[in-house]
Amino acid sequence: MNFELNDEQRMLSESLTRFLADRYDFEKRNKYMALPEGFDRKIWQGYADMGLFALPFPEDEGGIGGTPTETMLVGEAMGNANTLEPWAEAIAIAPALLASASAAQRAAIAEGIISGAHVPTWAHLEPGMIERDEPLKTQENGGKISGSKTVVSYGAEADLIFVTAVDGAGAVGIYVVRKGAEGLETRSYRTQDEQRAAELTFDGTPAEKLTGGIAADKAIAVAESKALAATIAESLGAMEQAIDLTVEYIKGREQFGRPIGTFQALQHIAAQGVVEKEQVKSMAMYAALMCEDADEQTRDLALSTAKVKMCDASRYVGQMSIQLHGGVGMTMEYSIGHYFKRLTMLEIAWGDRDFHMDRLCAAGGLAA
Amino acid sequence: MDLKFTPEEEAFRQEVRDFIDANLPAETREHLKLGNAPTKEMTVQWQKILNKKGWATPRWPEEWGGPGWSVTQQYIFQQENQSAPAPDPLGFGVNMVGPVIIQFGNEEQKKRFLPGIANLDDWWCQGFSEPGAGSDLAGLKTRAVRDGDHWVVNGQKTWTTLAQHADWIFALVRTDPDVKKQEGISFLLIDMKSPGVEVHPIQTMDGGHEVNSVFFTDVRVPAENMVGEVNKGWTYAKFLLGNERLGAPRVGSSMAKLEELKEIAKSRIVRGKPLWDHPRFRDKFVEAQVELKALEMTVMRVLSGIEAGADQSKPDPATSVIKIKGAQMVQRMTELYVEAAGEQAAPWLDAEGANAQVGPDWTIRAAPNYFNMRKSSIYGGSDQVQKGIISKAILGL
Repeated sequence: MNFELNDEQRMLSESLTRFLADRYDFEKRNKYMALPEGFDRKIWQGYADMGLFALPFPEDEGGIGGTPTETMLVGEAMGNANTLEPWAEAIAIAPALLASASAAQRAAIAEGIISGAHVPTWAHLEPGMIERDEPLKTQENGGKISGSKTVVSYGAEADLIFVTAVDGAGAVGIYVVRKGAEGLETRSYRTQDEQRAAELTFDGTPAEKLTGGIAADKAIAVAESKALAATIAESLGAMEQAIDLTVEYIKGREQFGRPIGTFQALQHIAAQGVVEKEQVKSMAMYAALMCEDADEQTRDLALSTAKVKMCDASRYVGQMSIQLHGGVGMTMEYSIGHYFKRLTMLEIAWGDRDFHMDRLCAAGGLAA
Repeated sequence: MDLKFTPEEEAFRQEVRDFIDANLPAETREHLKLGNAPTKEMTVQWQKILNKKGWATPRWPEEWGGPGWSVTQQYIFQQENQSAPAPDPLGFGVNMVGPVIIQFGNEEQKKRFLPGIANLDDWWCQGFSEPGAGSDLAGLKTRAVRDGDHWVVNGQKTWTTLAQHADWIFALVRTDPDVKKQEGISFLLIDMKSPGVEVHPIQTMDGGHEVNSVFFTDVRVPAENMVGEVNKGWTYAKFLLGNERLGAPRVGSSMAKLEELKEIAKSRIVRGKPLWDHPRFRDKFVEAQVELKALEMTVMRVLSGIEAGADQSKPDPATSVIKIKGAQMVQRMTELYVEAAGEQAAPWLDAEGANAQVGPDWTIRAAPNYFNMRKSSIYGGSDQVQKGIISKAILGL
C-alpha cells in the first residue's frame, strides 16, 4: 500500500503546472475561448511537446508507458487551471479505444495524436439517450455509418472522431471518422463551461472499424473508466482552486469593519469545503488505482463509489464558493463562477450521480 | 502509487485474523456483535491474551515491549481487531499515557508503569476535561501545589471515562496560575486509591454509566509521579492528542457494522420482502459505504505519508478530516440501525429487563448506541474545534 508519487510523477505535475501558469489566466482563457475553434492549437501543441499525449501509449508504440497515476496528475493540473481543451479524450479515451485495434491501425492513428497534429473526440451518446449505457441506434453498414450523436466535445473541431455504432447483427463496434468526412454534418455550440460541443449527423459516412462485439464493449468500458478517473482528478484540481480563490476573497473583503474571513460562520463553511476536497483527493487516487483493475465489476463499482463522492463534494465546494463570494460570485468577471460551472459539468460527465448510484445499488454495493 | 497490500502484509493480516479467531472468547465476540460495549472483565481478559502474544501495545517501541510493526501493520491489526469484533486494548493506557511516559517520562516511571499498562494490571483513566474547561482545555483549574516531596491536588475533572474501573488517572493540573494559561499546566499521575479522590457516576442519556466526575480534595501525590518537567504538561497533552488521530476513525469497526447491517437487512422481512431489497434502504446503505470508502482511503493516504517519512510537524488537513468524518461514520452506523429497527427500537431493555424485549437481539442496542454515539463528534476536539483548526492552520483565516 503506497500513495506516494515517484520523482518522475512529481516532475510531470510540476512542469505541467508551470506550463499552465504561464499560459492560463482569466484574460488569456477568455482569448482562447474567442478563437474560432474555442481553444488554442498552440497550447494543444505545447501539451504534445511536453509528451502528455505520449503518456498513455506503450513505449514500443512511440509512447511513454505512463499509468493512470500520471493521468490523475494531468487531470488535477488541468482542473486547477480550468483549461478548455479536450485532453481527457486524448489521454484517457483514445488510447483505451485504440488498444482494441490492430497494431497497424493503432500505430497509424496514435502517431497523429501523440504529435499533437490530431485532436480526438468521442462520439458515443445519442439524442434520446439519457444514460450512457442505453442501446445505440447509429448503424454501420458496409464500412459506412449513419445516425446521430449528441453533446460531442469539440465535435466540429476535432480531427479524429471515435464513434460507436451497431452493425447488421446488432453488435456494437468502435469506428474512426475523420474531420470533414463525406456525409458528416456538425452543429456546433458553446457549453455551459465555455467549452464547445456539437451534434453530429452521419449519413453514409465512411468509417474505419477498430473493433466490434465483446471486444468493443470491453474497450468502451475501459475507456470510460479511465475518463471517469481523469475527471475525478480534474474536479479535485478545480475544487482546490475554487477553495483557494474563495479563501483569498474572504481574507480581503471587508464588511462591518473587518475581513469577512474572520467570521466563524464563514470559516466553518470554508473548512467543510476542505473536508470535502480532501476526500476527493483520496478518491482521485482510489479511482486512478482501480480504473485498470482486471475484474470489471470491481473496477466499475470502485469508480462509481469515487464518482458519487466527487459529485457530493463538488456540489458543496462549488456552491460554497459562490455563496462566500457573495454577489460578485454571480458575475462573469469573477473567475469563481467559471470554476463552479466547470465543476457542475464534471458532475454530469461520464454518468451522473444517479447513474453511479444505480450501478452500486444494483450490485448491492462494494464487496466487503 | 499502489493500493494493494504487499504479500507480506496480507500474510500478516491472515496471521492476525487466525490468532483472533483462535483466541478471542466466543462470549466476548457475541456480546460485542450485538452492539454492546465490552465489560471490564472482557477488556482485561483480551488485553492480557494480546499482551502474552506481544500485541497489546502496537505503537510502542520494541525496547518497551512493542511488536516493532510498521504503521501499516498497526492499521491492519487495529482493523482486524475491530472487525472481529474484539475489545480494543485500553486506549487510555496503551495509546495515551503509555506513549507520553515513553517519550517524556524518566526510567523509573517507565519501569514502574509500562508493564502494568501493557498487561492491563493497571486500568488508567484520563483527567483532562473539567466543568469549566471543555473545548478550551487550557483553561483548566484543578490546582496542584508543591508541599515538600508531594503535590497537593484540589479540583474536579469530568467526563472521565470508566473512572469507576480505574486504578490510576493521568491528570492535567495547574501548577502556575500566574502565567499564560498553556504555560502553567503539568502532567501528573495519581493513584485513584489516594485519600481525597472521589468518583461520582454520570448517567448518560442512553442509560449507561461510562463517564464520571472525579473530585480531588487535598490529594497528596508523590513528586516522583510528575511526568517530564513542571509546567510543560500542555506540550505532553498535545503530543498525546496527536497520537490518537489514526485510532479515532474506527474504520474497521464501522465497516464491520455495515456488513452486519447488510446481513440483518437480508433476513428482515418488510412488506413481504427483505429490507435489503427496498430501494430506500439500499440507497442509504450504498451512500454510507461510499463515505466509508472515502474515509478509509484518506486514512490510508495519511498512513502512507507517515511510512514515507512525511514531515509530521506540519499540519495535515487530512488529520482533521479523519476526525470529523470518522465520528460522522460511527454516528451514521448507529442511525442506520435505528432506522432498520423501526418501532422495535422503542422498548428500553436496559431499564426494564427482558420484559421489554420485542424484536431480534440487535434491536436492543440500536437506540442506546445512537444516543451514546452523539459523543463522538464532541470528544477529542469537537467538529467545530476541528473546523477551527482547519480555518486557522490550513486556510490561514
